[in-house]
Amino acid sequence: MKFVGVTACPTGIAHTYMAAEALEEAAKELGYEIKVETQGSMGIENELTIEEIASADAIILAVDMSISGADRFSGKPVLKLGVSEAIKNPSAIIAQAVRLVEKGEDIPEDNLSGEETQNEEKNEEKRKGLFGWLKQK
Amino acid sequence: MKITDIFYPSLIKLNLNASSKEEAINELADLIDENGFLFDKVLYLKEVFKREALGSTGVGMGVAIPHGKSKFVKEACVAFGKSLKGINFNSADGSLAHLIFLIAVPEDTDNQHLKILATLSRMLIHQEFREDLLQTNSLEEVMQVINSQT
Repeated sequence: MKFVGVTACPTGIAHTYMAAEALEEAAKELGYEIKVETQGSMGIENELTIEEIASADAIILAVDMSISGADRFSGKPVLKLGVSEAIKNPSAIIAQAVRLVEKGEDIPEDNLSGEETQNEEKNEEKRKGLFGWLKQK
Repeated sequence: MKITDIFYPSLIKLNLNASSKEEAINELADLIDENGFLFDKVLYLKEVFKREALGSTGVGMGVAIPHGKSKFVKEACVAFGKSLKGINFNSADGSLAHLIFLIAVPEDTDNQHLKILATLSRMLIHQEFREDLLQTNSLEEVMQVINSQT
């Protein structure tokens, strides 16, 4: 199972990076792949590529503020939580993401439609969404 | 650039007197101020407490990282204090903070300083690093532990 994630906190000096490290370590321990983009005081680092997002089974957003490029994830199962939760209990969050992928549990309402109907039309929309985001950059 | 460019022995206190979060932040800010890193301590602290109000910087695992980015900081630095009795930083996991890092960053800081702070933050996730820091008994030992990991 593969995950991608984003961490971001208001000052972007410490917690953004602690949360990223915590998620990376927990995923490694549990035997999953993860790449975590940090949106902190140094801007966006370890930026997720369109391919990485497309091939991820679920998205983990550990954010205390609005992030840039949130629309990249539309149509994917998203687990959203606060930065401090990721620092405090990263293993539980990875486990929750695994459950989200396996059973479709805890999917936020705005993602439900994208999950339930995996038809051509939806996939097309998803691609448009990604390209739209690319163009904005 | 190395971590020792922002982490100085003169900014380390092995046994904080503070018994509250506010006292701990003030005690470490005094160190930073006495060593000439601030234009104005009170105004710098205002920024630190503003950040605390957004959510406690007690991150759990016995660690707290209060921080302020402010134009009243001359040069980026980190003060480090150990509290043997532990200080209540309202950490989500209920633990008392024994390792406290107060970060001061100027508004127009360069990325190299921020990179070091990011590295330090990442290091704190690792239990071994935290335990090594807890066991230090001298400024030299603290510097050694910090240096060995970066």
